[in-house]
Amino acid sequence: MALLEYLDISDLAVGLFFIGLYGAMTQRNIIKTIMSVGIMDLAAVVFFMLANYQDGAGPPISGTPVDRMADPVPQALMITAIVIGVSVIAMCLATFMRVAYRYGTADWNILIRRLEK
Amino acid sequence: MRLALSALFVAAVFLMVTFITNTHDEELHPFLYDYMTERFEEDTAARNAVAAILLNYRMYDTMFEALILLAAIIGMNQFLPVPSELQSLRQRDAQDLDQGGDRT
Amino acid sequence: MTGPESSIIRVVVGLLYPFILLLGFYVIINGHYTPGGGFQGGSILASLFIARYVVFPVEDIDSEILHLAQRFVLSLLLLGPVVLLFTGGVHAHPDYRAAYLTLMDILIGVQVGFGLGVAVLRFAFFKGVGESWRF
Repeated sequence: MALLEYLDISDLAVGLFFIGLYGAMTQRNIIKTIMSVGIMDLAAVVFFMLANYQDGAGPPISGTPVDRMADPVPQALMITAIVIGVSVIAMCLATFMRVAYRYGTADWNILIRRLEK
Repeated sequence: MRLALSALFVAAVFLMVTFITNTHDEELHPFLYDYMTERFEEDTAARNAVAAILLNYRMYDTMFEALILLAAIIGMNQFLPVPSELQSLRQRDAQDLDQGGDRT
Repeated sequence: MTGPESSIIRVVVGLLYPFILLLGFYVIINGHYTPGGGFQGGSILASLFIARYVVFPVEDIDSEILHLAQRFVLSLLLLGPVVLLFTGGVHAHPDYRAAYLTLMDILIGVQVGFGLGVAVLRFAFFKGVGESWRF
């Protein structure tokens, strides 16, 4: 297909984001929705780190020549983003445990039925 | 039926986003990259550019991200139920099992 | 969760434990010189708690003390740059810049390591109800 020649590597990260979105929309188990939200987080991180890619670049430490250094700014910002993703998933799982022990289920439809009673 | 509709919607949005980004071609000038790779060693005595960015140029990001980690752990500590709360749940579940009710 | 315990894993993890600790502290302290830093070394230190739980699931470590230590280190982490960096103190004494970077790296590493360790231990040693669930 001619479409495949127009895609580059950062469209793969966008595709991973949309796979995570599909999972969050259609899964029946609560844990799988939480995992899909985590996948969306990490896909955004991967997409951001692909910015300003240079062929044959060295690590951004003081030994490499200045015109062949990789870009340090996206890497430094994404360290913070990964930790925030971990914090969000930890809070989601703690909330899920409380809901599950109160209503005794881990399925969206059964939970909604029990909430309405 | 719902699964097929969701897959169609997600695939359509993905193709639209890909089409829009691949037909536009812009070059942004890497201003931060030039500034930081030239000056990070004389501003801060660090030999690692990522450490210089995280600890000197962008200290606010690091400080507030540590605060977010602490807030998440405090919230997790408060939201997990304590075993004494689960005793009442265990008794209520045992009563439901005795009455033989189907809880759906 | 409690199957037959494997003595191979227990012996090998016990042998590797000090090397992982050393690697964690090496990555933290040399953060301003080679690739690494506070967050990366802190994650390596947090993996020690997980390894200890996998091998020896006994509730030995009090997670409240770790949580208290993490909060104290965070308060130092928030006060340090306000006193040292934002008032121009580090810029005025150019000899102490490397020491300032190492100090901040150590504080970040300890904070992240203890925080993730508290999270894992609090989830792992959780006694709950499990018999009467229907999914």
